[in-house]
Amino acid sequence: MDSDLIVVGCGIVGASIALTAQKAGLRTRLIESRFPGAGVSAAGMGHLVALDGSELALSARALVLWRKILERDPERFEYRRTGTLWVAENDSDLADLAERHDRLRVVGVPCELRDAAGLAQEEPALARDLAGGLLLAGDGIVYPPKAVHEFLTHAVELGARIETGRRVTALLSDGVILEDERRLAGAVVIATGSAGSELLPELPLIPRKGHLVITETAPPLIRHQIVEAGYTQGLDAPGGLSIAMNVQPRPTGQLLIGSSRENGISDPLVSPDVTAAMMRRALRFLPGLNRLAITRIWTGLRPATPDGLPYIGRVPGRGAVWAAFGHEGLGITTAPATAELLVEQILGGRGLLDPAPYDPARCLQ
Amino acid sequence: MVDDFDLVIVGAGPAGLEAARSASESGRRVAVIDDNPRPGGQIWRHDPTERPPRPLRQLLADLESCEAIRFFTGHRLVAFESGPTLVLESATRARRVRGQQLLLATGARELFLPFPGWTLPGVYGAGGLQALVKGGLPVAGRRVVLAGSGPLLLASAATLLRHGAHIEAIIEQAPTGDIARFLALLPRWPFQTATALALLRRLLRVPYWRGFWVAEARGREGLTEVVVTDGQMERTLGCEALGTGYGLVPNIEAANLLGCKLTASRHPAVWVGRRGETSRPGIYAAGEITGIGGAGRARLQGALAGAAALGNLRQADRLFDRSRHAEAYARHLARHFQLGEPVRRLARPETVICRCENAALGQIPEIPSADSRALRLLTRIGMGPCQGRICLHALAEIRPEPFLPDWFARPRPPLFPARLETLAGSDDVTSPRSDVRSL
Amino acid sequence: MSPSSVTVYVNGIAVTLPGGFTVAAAVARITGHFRYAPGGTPRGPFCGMGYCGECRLRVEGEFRLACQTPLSPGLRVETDG
Repeated sequence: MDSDLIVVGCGIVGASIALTAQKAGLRTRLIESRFPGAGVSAAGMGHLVALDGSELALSARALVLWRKILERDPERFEYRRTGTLWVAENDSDLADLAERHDRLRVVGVPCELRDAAGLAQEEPALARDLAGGLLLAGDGIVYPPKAVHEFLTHAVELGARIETGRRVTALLSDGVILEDERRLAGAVVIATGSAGSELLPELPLIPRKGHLVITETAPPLIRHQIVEAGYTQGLDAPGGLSIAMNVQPRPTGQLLIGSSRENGISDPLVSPDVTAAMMRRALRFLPGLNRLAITRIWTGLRPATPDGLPYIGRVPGRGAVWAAFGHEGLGITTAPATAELLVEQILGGRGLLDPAPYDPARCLQ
Repeated sequence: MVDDFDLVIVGAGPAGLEAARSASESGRRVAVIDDNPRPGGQIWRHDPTERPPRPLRQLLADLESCEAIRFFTGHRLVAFESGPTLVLESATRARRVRGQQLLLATGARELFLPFPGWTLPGVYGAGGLQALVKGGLPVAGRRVVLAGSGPLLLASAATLLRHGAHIEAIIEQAPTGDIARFLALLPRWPFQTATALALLRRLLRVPYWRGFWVAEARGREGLTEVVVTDGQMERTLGCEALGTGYGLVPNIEAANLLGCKLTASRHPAVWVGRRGETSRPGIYAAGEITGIGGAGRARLQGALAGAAALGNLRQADRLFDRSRHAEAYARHLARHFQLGEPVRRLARPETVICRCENAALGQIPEIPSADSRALRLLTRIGMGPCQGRICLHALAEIRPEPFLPDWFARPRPPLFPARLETLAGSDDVTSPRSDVRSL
Repeated sequence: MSPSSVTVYVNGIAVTLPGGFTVAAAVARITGHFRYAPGGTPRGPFCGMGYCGECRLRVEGEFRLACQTPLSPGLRVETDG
């Protein structure tokens, strides 16, 4: 049975691509080695955020698409418009936030600066010695396993097919071979997240391990997702560890606490030292967390590319093989825009986003 | 700050205490950790209205005279750090201990099979109710039903009777024939026979229904009656409390987190060799965690593993032959209290399976998958405070799939909900001695 | 064995019990509803051994398991309603 498009990997990106492709009239087939959303999608925080810097264009477009997706039935995604409150520890951080504010405003992302008093008003639980903050009221959170499930269910309703528990053993220029030796013909999208370079070794991928910590259900402590201003700094140190506070109030009444980044580590075990450092960092900003009970700690591997941008586009020298992976920690946010950009390219069209920054050819080794 | 020991024993029940006594003969430094306020475990749980059982008194007397043993009661093992260092939490603070050797004697908990109404206040575990009553939960003059399977129903009934409860009936799902065969061969194990006879003598006037089960618990804000059936006739019994439990399952979580090999069974136990060693070097296991076989077996295994862990292999090997006889009792018990098909089919689509997340059977999709993670992520079952200790075992009985080896995949830390400051390990967490109870 | 008695306060109501009993015993004399599950259904103690979390309530302002917490004089307990 032939398909127009074979999507390998059913995480948030694969499911999103299948849905978009199926809507565009492509007969789509998903191949998932474990179960939908089993990989990096399930491990993440599920934030829908506008990050400035190189990811801005993709995330800003994605947020527009997400708004449409969430119009229908936000509860199915467990969506909450928490906003993101970026907090500055000192004046230098606050100056950075002011610059970020200006850059975001230019591309039409609504945001507002807060001084120390304004910050305390937004979130009384924050430490009192902070310099101020930047509020992005349009940001939000979803529950990624539900989001994957929704995209997949919708795609299947439109006629997409899915096989789970099935591994792709070989990649051809016009199809794939499965572990049961069946050969499927069609254009292929590799959307296997952290496992992307297993099938496409020519595209470098660095696992960037992260830990997450979740608390018990407790009375509300904060209303916004809170992130420290330095979140995006210090990520390039090879083999290095970077810790930055990021705390989300989940719809369940739990608090989800991040974050850590460890370059080049693919061992999934929980490191008590790293999580202790994360929690101490969270305590620095939210001292009221100290007696809350932690119920679970887990890890995930962010698929990072050398320049921090995902691979979205045709893979040179591979025939009808396309890449859609390397979204690092922003895959939940950017999945709909990734799908739009990729399917436009597959259909030979041209959309709102310039595909050049995401062209896999830039990193080919 | 970390306290160092030659041997750290987790669990102060029959296995853990025997292990401590056995290890004490070496004179080396031993720590015994238990989350209950007092040693004794579940079977010898402290009852302030009664003298402790004789074996416990004897063990504690032996251990009391031993300087090298330190008890950390009221301390729950919540996580491991490198070493492994054990992170403990009491009601007020955190401590860290480390042992050259580690002996896990974490015991067992009850297996619950969900049925309509089982989340009503007034419905308890059978052993759970016994424990609560020993802690002072009032049952005097109240009507109580005990239902499920296994000898624990009888033990619980006896405790409740002594505390003034009116036991309406003990409802055992195993048919009369199985019980008769269980009793017929019981004299091979004199210790278990004596226990059983003592219990039965105290329960002479209590109706013991075999081949029946509770199909439903009813009440508005709390339990008022239960529906009892044998699959044909139904009877309603009015009661204020129901204790229910379908046998025991090993508390494998700590061992599983450490990567110890498990047995391939529906409710896995920790695999141990003939000296109580697990598949991980320096880690031993003893008692119910290695398979359900009662206190007698647990004591032998504890003594054996405690000796082996500190290098007294001669002593360990001497105990091995006796432990084999106790092992046969474990098989005898399992064979005659096998769960019938009907008790696995009591939950309706609207019946809660995961008590923590209030997730009903009908909300749990039939996703074919090799482990429980797909289900857990989508429905959050097993992700609440009990971390699947109840629902994953219930589902292992309810779901149509054959036993899946990865169902109990390596758990996520912490082992129990633990305060953030405990895991953050801030340096101001000190370890004052007042926090350690002596015996 | 008659341990001396202890008075604690459950939702503000004084309860006097023998020492050695648990917070669960004291609360049970006032109410069977220790906490409310997601969806609002009342729950009471269940496993009795400290792992199910059904008897979780506030003791001196902090979440504790009632079944594992011994009574001590003057303890203030609030059910999680």
